[in-house]
Amino acid sequence: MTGRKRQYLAPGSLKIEPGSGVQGDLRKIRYPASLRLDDLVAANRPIPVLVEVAEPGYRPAGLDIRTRITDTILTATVQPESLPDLDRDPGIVAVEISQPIGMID
Amino acid sequence: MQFAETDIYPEMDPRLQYAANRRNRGYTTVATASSDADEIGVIALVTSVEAFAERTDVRVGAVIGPTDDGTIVTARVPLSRLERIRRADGVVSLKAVQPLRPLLSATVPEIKAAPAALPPDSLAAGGAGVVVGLVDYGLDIAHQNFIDQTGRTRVEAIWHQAGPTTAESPSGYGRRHGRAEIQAALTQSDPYTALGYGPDPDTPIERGSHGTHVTDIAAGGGGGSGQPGVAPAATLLFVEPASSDITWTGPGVVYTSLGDSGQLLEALRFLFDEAGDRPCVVNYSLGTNGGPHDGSSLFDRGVDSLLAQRPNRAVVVAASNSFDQGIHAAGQVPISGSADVQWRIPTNLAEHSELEIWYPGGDRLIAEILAPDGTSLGKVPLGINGELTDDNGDNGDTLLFVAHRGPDPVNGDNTIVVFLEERMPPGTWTIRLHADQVSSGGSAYHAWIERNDATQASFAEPHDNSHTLGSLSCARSTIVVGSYDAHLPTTPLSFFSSAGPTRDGRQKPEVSAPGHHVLAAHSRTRTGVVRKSGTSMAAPAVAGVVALMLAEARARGLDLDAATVRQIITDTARTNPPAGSGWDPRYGHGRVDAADAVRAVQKLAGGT
Repeated sequence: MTGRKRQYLAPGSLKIEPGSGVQGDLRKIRYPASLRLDDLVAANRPIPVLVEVAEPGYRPAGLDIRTRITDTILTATVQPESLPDLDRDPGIVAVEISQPIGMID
Repeated sequence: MQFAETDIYPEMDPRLQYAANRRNRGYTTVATASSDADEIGVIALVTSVEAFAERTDVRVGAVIGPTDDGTIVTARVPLSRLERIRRADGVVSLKAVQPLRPLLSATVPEIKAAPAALPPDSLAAGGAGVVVGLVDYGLDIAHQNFIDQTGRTRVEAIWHQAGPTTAESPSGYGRRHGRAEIQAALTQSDPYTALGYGPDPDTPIERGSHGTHVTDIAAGGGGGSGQPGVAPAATLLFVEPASSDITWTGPGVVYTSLGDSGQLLEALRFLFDEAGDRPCVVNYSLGTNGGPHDGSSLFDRGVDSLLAQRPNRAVVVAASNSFDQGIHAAGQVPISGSADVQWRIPTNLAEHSELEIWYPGGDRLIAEILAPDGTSLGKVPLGINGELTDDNGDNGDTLLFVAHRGPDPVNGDNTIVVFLEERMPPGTWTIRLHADQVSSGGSAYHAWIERNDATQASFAEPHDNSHTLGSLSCARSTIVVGSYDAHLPTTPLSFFSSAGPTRDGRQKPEVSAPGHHVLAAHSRTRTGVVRKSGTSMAAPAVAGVVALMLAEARARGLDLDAATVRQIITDTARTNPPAGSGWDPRYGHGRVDAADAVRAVQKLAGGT
């Protein structure tokens, strides 16, 4: 809100490439598609996630479990570099990175 | 300095044009004693006062009198609706102006929840014995509406997720304040400091905290304001979510987050655990625009599982306030053709915008991005990403990012997400969806624009305002609530109240309730009230009705599972409006009816 006229950039051409790194390989991880998981890996900070496991009571390696919501759904944090391990874990049905939410007025 | 034309309706009063322009640039008005933030006072010359007052985006203050051209009235209108109202039939003139008289709350009588309206043999007792849990922001423990006649707090516990962590913190973070601690704080001159928790003071933008207002509608006792809520004898639990601790980076920073879905699910777990064997209804009004909208998210499934764990539980959710914002589009990509999704980026976009498209996993589309001048930036097939940086290389900042991925691990669908940084040119961007491999009937897609409260982008008109429910309003077992205006005899829909169905075709919202100009507890005033509008104000009215139902059932030794509660709420909803006997995309199955809902519980329990 500076009051100054904004300078817009002229669009160029998209750089098109396959999804790469962590982002290109994961199959069980649901996350906002615009979220750059590779950036999260680089940041190396824990990510809050929701996890569904196949068997009640199963405790996947690499997760810091916060709350067991039900027998098979839990909340946890995970280090980004552990996401590929979770993706390969046959005891895990799905992982969902927690979605930021806003107030409905 | 450069002079530029605007697209604001030029026939409008210059001061209103100025206000509309300022709103488009991200400014808001200041809340006053008579108006909410983002509202403006007007004097209107109209041909029919009745027709003008019927509009749900108009709050008529006073009828001044007739003139040769019509009748002069004062009113308050949302800034976002100025141009539409000025262009409406019957509006001869619209000028900026001044304060208005407040309206009275009409929620409890209109939904037939007053004790006198309930069946004479009702045992609901104002919801006594039932826990009403709220996930919201800013509960005022000192407001007299939450203190009983003996001076004791009605709040059993608060989990302040952003509070200091202790060994007893639920889910390992934040602070739980119990009843004894709250009661002790109430004896101090500054109970908020004593407790270490309280609502924020009023600001020029927001008068009264959201959570205090919402809690009062559901279950305020009326000891301060003189107007009880729907279930004034219920026990209260409250969770205030923390800001999200997600380490958002790069284009993912598209939200100004007040929490995240994991924290909300933990809040629900906490509330049901605290309630224990007691019946419990939880109310929340949180969400965003994006997401699968099909009940498949782990959040949605977690809520459904919590409700299935034991009877006498219910979750009530606000539908959302996005109906007229143009944030949804839908269509079909023909088998050998294309379809355009047109995305209008306003000038001076305050922060980046994000668009999300979902289509069936059995199909393959190609997303072509066209700039406002028609230039194609490139085509992005399934499984491929596209990126535009400010140096057109690997080291610049992202200006535009396209992710095209699938199948989704949970529902098997494909998604296209386009992220646009605010330095990109405004105007109409086009996402051209080309068929790559599409089934014979064409590929049905739905698109949503993510929420941006400062400068909301929209799809090009005409808008498809269906499917505008919030992202956390799509679980199967919840009760989702739309809003109407109970101050008008025809109880019209609120202009903002979002529409269903869900993307997978389920009938949500289930029901509607008064959510327009609702007067309820004003935080940090002890006895005062403040007016707010939104589906956030409608949902707690239904939560209160559910509390009455659960109390009635408990008194009669009857257990109600979540599906039965939901069925009773929809079966007993009133029509006319909505017209007909079927489901309406915005009213749901109709307007909630507390008396008939309690009566239905009595019948189920074997009563008359």
